Amino acid sequence: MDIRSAVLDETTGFLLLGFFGVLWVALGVFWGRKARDLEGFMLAGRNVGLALGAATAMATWVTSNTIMITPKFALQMGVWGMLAYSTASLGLLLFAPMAWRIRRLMPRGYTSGDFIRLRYGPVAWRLFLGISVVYSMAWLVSMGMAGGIVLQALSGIPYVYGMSVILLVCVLYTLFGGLYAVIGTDFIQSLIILVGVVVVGGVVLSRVDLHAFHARLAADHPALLQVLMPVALLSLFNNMFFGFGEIFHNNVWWSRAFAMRDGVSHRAFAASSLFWLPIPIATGFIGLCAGPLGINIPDADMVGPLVASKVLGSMGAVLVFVVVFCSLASSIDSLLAATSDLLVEDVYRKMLRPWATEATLRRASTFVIVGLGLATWLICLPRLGDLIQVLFLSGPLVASAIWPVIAGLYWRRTGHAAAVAALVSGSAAGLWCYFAIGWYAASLVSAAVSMAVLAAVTALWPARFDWSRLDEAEPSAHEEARPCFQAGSSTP
Amino acid sequence: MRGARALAVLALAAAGGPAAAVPPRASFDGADTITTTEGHATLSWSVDGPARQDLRFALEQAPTARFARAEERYRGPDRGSFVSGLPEGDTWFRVRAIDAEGRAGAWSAPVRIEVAYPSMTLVARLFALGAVVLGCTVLAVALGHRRARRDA
Amino acid sequence: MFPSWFFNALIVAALILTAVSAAGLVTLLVRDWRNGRLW
Repeated sequence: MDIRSAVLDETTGFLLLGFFGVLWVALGVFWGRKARDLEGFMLAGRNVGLALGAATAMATWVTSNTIMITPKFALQMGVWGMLAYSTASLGLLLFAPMAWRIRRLMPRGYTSGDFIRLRYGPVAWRLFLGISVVYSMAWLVSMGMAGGIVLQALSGIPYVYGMSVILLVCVLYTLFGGLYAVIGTDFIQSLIILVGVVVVGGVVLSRVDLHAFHARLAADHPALLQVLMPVALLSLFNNMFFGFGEIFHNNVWWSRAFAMRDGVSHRAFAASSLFWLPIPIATGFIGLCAGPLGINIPDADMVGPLVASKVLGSMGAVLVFVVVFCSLASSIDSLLAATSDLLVEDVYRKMLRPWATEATLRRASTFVIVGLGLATWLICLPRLGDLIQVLFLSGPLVASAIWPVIAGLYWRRTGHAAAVAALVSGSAAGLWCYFAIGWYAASLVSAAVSMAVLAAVTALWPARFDWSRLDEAEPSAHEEARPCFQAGSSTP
Repeated sequence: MRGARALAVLALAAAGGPAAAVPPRASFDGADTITTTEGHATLSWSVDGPARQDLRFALEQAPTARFARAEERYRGPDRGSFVSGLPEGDTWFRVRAIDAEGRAGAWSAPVRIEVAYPSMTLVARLFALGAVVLGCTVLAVALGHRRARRDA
Repeated sequence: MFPSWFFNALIVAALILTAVSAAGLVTLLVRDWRNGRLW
């Protein structure tokens, strides 16, 4: 339902949008000059340090959902709602050793698609690309829509303007600056997010007598403090596996693993999981304070901003606005960059034009980034409410990829049959569960079935993979027209 | 301000319009029974007749339809409220409008929220499944990493 | 039911950790910058 009065006025909203929009694009142009070649554009020269690496992983994993949905989860499911969401940090932590392994196996790798293609062959590769693109588009669209909706609710800026400006800004600076711009802006955005959460959380905490707060919750909303709250317990693991699936499969994270300097990536991911962990707890707490602070919530989706602005006034509203904008931008830019890398490398270069030169690929990147932005914008335009559901539907799809990726990295006996079977059976079982049982078990069921099938097929038909096949030689930077890869061989 | 408001009321009374009467009855939007497996629901309400900005609303919650042990959940101008953490079983809500003078309209027809959490057996089974799959996942990564470091 | 002390500890810890994270990132950045290992 519509909120009667926005918490910020439209002019302030436009000013904030304009200021940060121009800032990010300017930084994008400035940092974009560092990218001399395709490797610079896509992988920031493979030399990103610990600070920037940790910040970009953390900021990208903070989406507007982290800021907006955690208060709602806390309101709906109480303490477990906050804790359930924070378990998603475990995905970043588990990816740390995997990032180490990825770099050792594929020192010259570009994308997650490269890995699946070399490890499991064309069938698994196509399935994997399909899952990845569906999920990435769902994430992009949900961020675009969330941006428009939240900015409208916060400041009255019409949905179409807010959504369009956010997408345009992100497309522009990703286009000009590539991964350098993405990572650089992510650092600034991560600091803004952390400081914003501390300030709002701290002030809310100072206004609330925790003991009385607890008593009030116990009296009025007893289920929220229940240790055995049913749906919350279920969503605990479901959320975790959705998160694992997102991180382990998606090129957003793989490209970061490739972009960081040797010896940095596993430490950066481990650090980022620690930095990310408290955020959903803090934002969830802000949402849970609504009842005890006597703040009515007409619409659960807005509980976070409502509490912040009631407690901190327009300063709180500005903070929430800026933090949400940063969380959106830090995720959208990463998605644009990584998905375009995947499409250019895996679809354009490997499937369609193996002879493409660097210049051609760079041009292709431009087209794909703009194309992704345009497609997202068009899908977001009609503001179809059910589109957000598509993101949750992608949960079982990505969860089915968890075990093919893990086994692909560590078990040489898992062959392409096991991977394909796991992807298909996990996705199917998870999707069935989504409709038959509930959203809160779909990713869990998908991961479980995928694991069981993969283990069974590996045991019954073991393969024997040669790890060196993953180290595919890369053409030199100024290559003339010649195939950029040879199917089946690891050296040119 | 009090003087101005008194004048306005007198003016309205002199105009002889229905605005001088008791506020209209509020009513909930949507069905009169809401079922949820998650213990939360969004209630929204409205009043008949011309739109009025001066109305506030009082929302009451009770464990029975007779509203014997009713508690006021909300009082203010919003026309909706998100309720959560409801106990298993039925909870009843009703709402009424209150104007600037404190006069209350009639209570709305009540809405019943029926909470049926998923069975604890299902929850326990899925929870156990989750723990097992998580354990296997963590173990696979940990052991794989250890072996990879050894071989490196 | 989650006891009051658990709740208190959780919230305070979360806010402190968030602040520490921000400080940590800045520290790491300065360190990387000084050593020319930023990117």
